[in-house]
Amino acid sequence: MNERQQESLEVLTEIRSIMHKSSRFLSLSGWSGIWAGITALVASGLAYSWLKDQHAFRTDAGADIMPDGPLSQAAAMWSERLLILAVLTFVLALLGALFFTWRKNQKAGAATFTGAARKLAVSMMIPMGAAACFILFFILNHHFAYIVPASLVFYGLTLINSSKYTFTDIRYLGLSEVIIGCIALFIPDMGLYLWALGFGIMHIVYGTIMWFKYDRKVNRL
Amino acid sequence: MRKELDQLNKIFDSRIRIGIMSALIVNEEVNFNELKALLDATDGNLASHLKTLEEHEFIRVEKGFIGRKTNTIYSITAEGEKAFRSHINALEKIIKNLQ
Repeated sequence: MNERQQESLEVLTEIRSIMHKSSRFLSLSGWSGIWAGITALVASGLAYSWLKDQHAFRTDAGADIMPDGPLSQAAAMWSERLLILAVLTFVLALLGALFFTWRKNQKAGAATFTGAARKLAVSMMIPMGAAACFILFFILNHHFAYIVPASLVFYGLTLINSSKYTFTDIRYLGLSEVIIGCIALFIPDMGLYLWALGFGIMHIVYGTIMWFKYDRKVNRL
Repeated sequence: MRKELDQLNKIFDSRIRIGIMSALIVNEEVNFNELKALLDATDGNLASHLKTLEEHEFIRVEKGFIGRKTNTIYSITAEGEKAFRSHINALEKIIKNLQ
């Protein structure tokens, strides 16, 4: 390869790299995923301990509360608590994710709120907003069995949609959330475990892989 | 070989200009500060290269404000896109032909 070719190749490589960097938000930190996973595990542990010894969510037949059926007073109280827990978990996970990403950018001296970051945020907010509508409807109408599958599937589809604007690896996390969500639809009794698997374990696994793949290099440089 | 070299656009000789065009071809619009961070250029240097591209009508400039701060947004023109694509093609030819 002569000098002229070498030079052309370098220029083309640089063009590719700038196209990639400028259109994707590549500063999501692996710690963001790990943090989200930990908050999800703690929350599901709490929910498990609340639900373990009380039968508020069981009817006489031992089945979960029927859709549209009236809630017992105890069940109404617990579902309110669970809802507050869910909202708190979401907010904590999100704030943590933003913090770790911001911190990674501070270290690297990069800007956090770029055009790609805006695109990523919008691409996440649309399906997540639809998810919030669905889940609210399920809560209001006591279709509790659909909350876990819906949250997993919508979240998974959100990640697949967002993979255009950040690391493509996030697609695989999205796919596994969708699969776990579909399984949860068929085994509602395992809902809480599958929720902990999808939002807890999978996030921690993904965050760890991302940290080793991308962040470690940045820290070393 | 001569022919390919002739197709290389002199305007894209600079790394910064190549970088600006690369960012603008995949994004509808990019503002000054994002370009600066992306290309690791100084204000003056980046501004002069942007000026050159604007003079050749390869990019469009829109001046706006975010609060009190000026926010200058750049986007690629049809002509700029055409010129940049044929520049990339010429680079590819150079690599392929001599292998």
